[in-house]
Amino acid sequence: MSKMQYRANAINVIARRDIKSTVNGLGIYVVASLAFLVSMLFVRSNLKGVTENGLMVMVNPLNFPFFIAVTIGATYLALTSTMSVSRERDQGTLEVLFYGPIDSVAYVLAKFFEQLVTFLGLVIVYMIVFFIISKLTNFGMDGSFLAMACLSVLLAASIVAFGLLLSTLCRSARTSVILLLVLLVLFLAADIVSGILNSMSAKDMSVTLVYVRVAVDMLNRGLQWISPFGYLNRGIAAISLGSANLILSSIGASLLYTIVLLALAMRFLDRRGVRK
Amino acid sequence: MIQTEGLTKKFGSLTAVDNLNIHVEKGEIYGFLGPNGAGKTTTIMMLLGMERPTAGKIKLFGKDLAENYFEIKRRIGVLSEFQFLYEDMTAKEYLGFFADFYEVENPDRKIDEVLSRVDLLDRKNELLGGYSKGMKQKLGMARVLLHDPDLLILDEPQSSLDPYGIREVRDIIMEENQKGKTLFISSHILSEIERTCHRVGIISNGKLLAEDDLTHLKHQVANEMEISVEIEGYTEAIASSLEELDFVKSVVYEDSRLTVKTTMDDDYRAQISRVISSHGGVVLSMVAKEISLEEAFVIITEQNLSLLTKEGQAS
Repeated sequence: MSKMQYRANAINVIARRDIKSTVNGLGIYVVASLAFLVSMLFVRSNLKGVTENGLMVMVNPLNFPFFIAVTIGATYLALTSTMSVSRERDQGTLEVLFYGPIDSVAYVLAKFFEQLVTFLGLVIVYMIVFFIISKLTNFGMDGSFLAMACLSVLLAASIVAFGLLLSTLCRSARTSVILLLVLLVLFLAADIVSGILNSMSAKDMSVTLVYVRVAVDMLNRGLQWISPFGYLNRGIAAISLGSANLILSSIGASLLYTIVLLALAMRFLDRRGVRK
Repeated sequence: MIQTEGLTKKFGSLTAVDNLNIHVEKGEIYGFLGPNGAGKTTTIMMLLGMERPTAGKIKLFGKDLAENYFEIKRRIGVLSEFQFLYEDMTAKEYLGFFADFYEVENPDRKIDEVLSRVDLLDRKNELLGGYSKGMKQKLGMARVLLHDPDLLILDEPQSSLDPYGIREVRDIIMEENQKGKTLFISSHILSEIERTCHRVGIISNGKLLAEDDLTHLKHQVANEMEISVEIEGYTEAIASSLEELDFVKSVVYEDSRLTVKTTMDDDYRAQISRVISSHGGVVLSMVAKEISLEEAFVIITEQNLSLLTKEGQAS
């Protein structure tokens, strides 16, 4: 057997076991229900607008609720992928796996595909439900909905790669989750502060504050290339602009980001080792 | 089967394993001994490719581990001291997962077979979270046997086991060896090592101090053999005659028992018996008290006594 065949078997066996464990667990169902509830609030608001005004001028009214559902699902994915490697190392089961024919490449890819397949299942369910809602409400769905669904899978890939990188960096599941939360808060804070500072008029600002605005803006721009959610934002913007070039470059950037982060995760797993 | 050359592992300024040359032959049971922190586990981890050596080479099955990683790992079964299990699985599910992992043929039959060998067949549908420490240890052994490996690396295989469990594992070790399998065992239960192993390697402070078969190792460490003779018709002449022999170091008579200390170069019981008989004494029983592996281990590790040649071979 070739190296690739050994790896393919290990990926298949581990991913299958993890998917089974996810399906048998409660988390995925709680997240799916929460995502539906929240997204339905937006659908209901749109419906209320139509009922009250008798008219609603809105392109693709289901796209935003779908985006919300996808984001909630992706956030869950960020959490589970961040815990996936560190939890197994914490429990010692990672060490036992590595007694056998597996290396860091196969293990990280197994975890990656398991999370991605889980998300794909979630997106398919979302799409079916939104299709039913579209039929029930007469809210239209066009190609941009499908484009967003496809893009969400790319987003998921980026998020899983990001989570796996954090997971390989940390010795315990708790540390990796704390690291994820700290980074998410940092991404969010930089975005919000940058937004607030950019909305202010330069005339009303002191020189120091102008420098702070420039610095925060540069930091935020940089973080947008580190945060997986930045790639989603760029993709959504490209879809809303309808630019094929921007969509393709957004897809390319997401794929490159995913590959680089997975390679780093494999490298860190090798360096950190698999022992408890 | 296992060959290391100049194997070294450093963690910063600490040298955990220092220029280790071990040789394990195909079909033998090799005991890998050393005090806590001697570098045993680090060595095992390097043998499995789970720690990168700072220097040196590892060959398993005559092949370079790095170049034949997957092929070699598939032929090895490893039991660690602590059992880390998926506690939400049953024994059947757990072994089923590893059967898929190692691509075992007829997995259901094989799972039943290995569970039967460790006396857990009737518990196969129970969740592992409810297993006792000893049961987990035995399940770990079942996992090791599942893919019929050619080389078994066992780290403290009998810890956490009751006397029945210890015997079961010992029997499995002997059975596997009879099938031609090679076993590399690290253990602190030296009486078990003495019962099962053909050769031992003793490591201390990361250095291999001895590697030899048990008899030769003990002979190297001990400088005398104590022979205890239960005797009838003792006379002073017996003691005097014995003391005149070249190989006799001392003779003490006490409570109808003659204690003769001899050099270690041969077994002198026949000569002693003849001397006693020639003076009218009657030997009722004679026991040669050999140094135990435990005593040899303590002497070697406490005195940091290297029994190897400069080339790292047994002297």
